[in-house]
Amino acid sequence: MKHYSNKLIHISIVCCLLLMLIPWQGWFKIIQPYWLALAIIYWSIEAPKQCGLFTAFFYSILLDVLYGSLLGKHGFSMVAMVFLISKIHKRLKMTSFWQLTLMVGALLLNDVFIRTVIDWLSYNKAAFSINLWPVLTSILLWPWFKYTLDRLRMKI
Amino acid sequence: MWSPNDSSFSQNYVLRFLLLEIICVVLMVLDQSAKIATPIRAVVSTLTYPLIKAIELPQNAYEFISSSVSNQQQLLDQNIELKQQLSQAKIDLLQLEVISQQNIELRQLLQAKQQLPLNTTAAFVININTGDNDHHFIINQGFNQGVTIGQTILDLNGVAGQVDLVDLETAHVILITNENHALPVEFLRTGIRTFAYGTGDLNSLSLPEIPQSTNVKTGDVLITSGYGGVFPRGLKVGVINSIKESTDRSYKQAEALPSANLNLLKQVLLVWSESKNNAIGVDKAETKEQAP
Repeated sequence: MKHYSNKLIHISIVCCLLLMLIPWQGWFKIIQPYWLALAIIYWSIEAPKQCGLFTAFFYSILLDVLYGSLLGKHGFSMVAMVFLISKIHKRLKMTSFWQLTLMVGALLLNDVFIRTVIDWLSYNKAAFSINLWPVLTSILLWPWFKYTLDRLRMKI
Repeated sequence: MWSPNDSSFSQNYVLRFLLLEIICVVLMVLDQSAKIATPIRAVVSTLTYPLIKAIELPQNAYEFISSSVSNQQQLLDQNIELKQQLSQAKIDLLQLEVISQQNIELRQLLQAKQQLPLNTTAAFVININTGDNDHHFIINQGFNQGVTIGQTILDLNGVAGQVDLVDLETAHVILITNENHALPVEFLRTGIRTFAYGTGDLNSLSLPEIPQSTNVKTGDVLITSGYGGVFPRGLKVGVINSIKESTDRSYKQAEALPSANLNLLKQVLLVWSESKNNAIGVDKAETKEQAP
């Protein structure tokens, strides 16, 4: 297993956190992808030793405080996601590019579902509503996201 | 070498996973109590505040540049317009002063309790994404400025919302139009009290529980009733714009247009209750004494 620069990992995750805070209006707000989840998925596949459960937990709690959502909501779903990735880690490393993209989609779907259930249980939303647009945009972004980070990783 | 499937590591890994998930569940449960959750949020927000600043900086820079390059004629026009508004406001104020003096005298005659003037401070809205929380925004005053949960937020035209969560330097505000928000209101004309619920639409409040026997007209003004003790009494909330009967004809139902300009909130006013403000003053004085 290779050892990547910790700096690159954390800077990229913080950049994704910042991307999630951009105040888009109208449609762009609805389809805004889950940048943080993408970054966590990428690094927990590529460098599971450096980006594990605790990293996911830490950054998700930051997101919870920034968004003002229930403390631990994003934490719960993101830690579960990293655990799932570690369970199927070997297969994820071996699969073809397109299969990996589909897997990422499945992971994000699971992530959204957990958060919607938490919202529903905690009466944060009046009705059980689920917004799947961000999952779609995240899947569409994944190939470019992976390519960019792969290139950066090689250079640094 | 590390691998989650190694038998030596596997159990440890599952335990760590369970520990973190339990921590998350405990946090979610504790979040129901403001007393415990606020310090946690305050501590974590020392880390998140730089991120908020990083998002705010380019927006401020853009505003600064656009204001410095906007042409002089525009500024002059604006200046004239503002002067006219100011003189109009001054004339209104003159009349108001007489009325408020009369009001005080009448209250003295009736030996009624004096209504204290509102104590407010200005706060600026930070334009930042708040995720799944619709009808939320962030202001640049927080725990350090003494903001507490439930404080009323006003626009210059009416009630905008209340403080929902407090971080160290910022606070989350929930708008009155949020689907989960209920506001105790009173009709100014008739004095009937009811609730105004958020609808998830910035231009509409719903009042589904008006007693059938009451006299309600479109154009009626709604003010806060002060019930529940969260919002002070007598602040303008909105104007009724449509009335209909409920399906089982047991209630009248109305829709109201909020007076506050909720689409374009930039600067808002934080309302302080009298006692709280004094207490904060004392606190600050004490900390100043302790500091050196």
